[in-house]
Amino acid sequence: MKKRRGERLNESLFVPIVGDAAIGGPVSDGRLVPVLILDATARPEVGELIRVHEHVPPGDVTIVWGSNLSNRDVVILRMWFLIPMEIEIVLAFSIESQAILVDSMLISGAVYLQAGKPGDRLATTMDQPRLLIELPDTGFGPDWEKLLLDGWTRMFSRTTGLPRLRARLIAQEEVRKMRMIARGPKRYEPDE
Amino acid sequence: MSREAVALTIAAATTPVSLASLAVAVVALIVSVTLGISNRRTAKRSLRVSEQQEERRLPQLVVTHQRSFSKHRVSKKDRVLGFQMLITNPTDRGTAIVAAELHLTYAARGVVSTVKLRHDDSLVRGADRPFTMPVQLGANDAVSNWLLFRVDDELTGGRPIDRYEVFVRDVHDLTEGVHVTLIPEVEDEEEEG
Repeated sequence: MKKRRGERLNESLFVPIVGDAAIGGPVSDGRLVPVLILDATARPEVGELIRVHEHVPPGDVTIVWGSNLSNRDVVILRMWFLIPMEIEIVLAFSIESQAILVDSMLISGAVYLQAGKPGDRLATTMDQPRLLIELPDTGFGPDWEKLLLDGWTRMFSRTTGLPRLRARLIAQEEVRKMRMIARGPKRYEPDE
Repeated sequence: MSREAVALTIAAATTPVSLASLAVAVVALIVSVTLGISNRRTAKRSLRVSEQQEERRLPQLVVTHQRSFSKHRVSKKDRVLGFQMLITNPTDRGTAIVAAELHLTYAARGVVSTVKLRHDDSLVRGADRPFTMPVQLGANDAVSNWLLFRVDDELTGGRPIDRYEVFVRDVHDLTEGVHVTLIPEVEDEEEEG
């Protein structure tokens, strides 16, 4: 694991995730790309950024993954948008309850951002603008593997009362199942 | 020391040869001090010249807006904005322009938003000669050409644009820009045809 470098982030940069889903298709070789519905109420410029993207060529964004040094359950994705608008967004994910989102983002190498409000679902907001962001490999993968396994081991050990070694085996199996879901359904390929 | 010895020493010091030596030493001292002062002045002047030369090598760009136009393309549901810019490099060091952007500022959802659009040289038409990045700019050189930007009709969601600014950036990451207030509307000949 790389040497940790702590930085205190301004809380106003955080944008809450109020809903999530996944879209499969031609992007990312048919893998499911997660859709994050963000509550942009306190950050209206985020909603404007997502809307504007439909009317401009692809822009520039820099991303950094990180973990919360004071809360082992939280993983951070920090995004600096430069073109077409200069905006910084920080998203926080719970390893225990939102690991599939982080895993899908790392596996597919992409994420959709959509502005919305609590209670919104992708199925009822398909006509809303959505921003597709490419997530390049930043080397966070090995760190994520450790954070995920440690986090789920702690969770299963706590919820089942099992010893840590048994909980780790369960965590490994659940991670494997989660990844089968994230890869999406197998494509039907009729015989020639 | 005895009185006779002192008398002999004073007598020796006041002989013509000694006086001449003293005079030569004094003259040499005066010449030395004068040369020293002169050298110091010369050195200070040289340092000033050297600093001015170094200053002329610091990256600098001067951007001047000459003309502009706005062309609405109904069939494409967009607008082409063109800005003829004179870019000057007043330094003794060459540079190259690597990027140009149009910043549109408007109010949306209660906040001031600024959208950045990149120069698009594929929008060239007719006699317009747009910049093609990178643009080489030699020492003490200037270049004039068009920057073209495509603005989708729905970009601001129907909100009026409050401010237009055109920025250029060079290879040293130096950015200079101008605020453009008037953009005359021109007819799109292709639409008319």
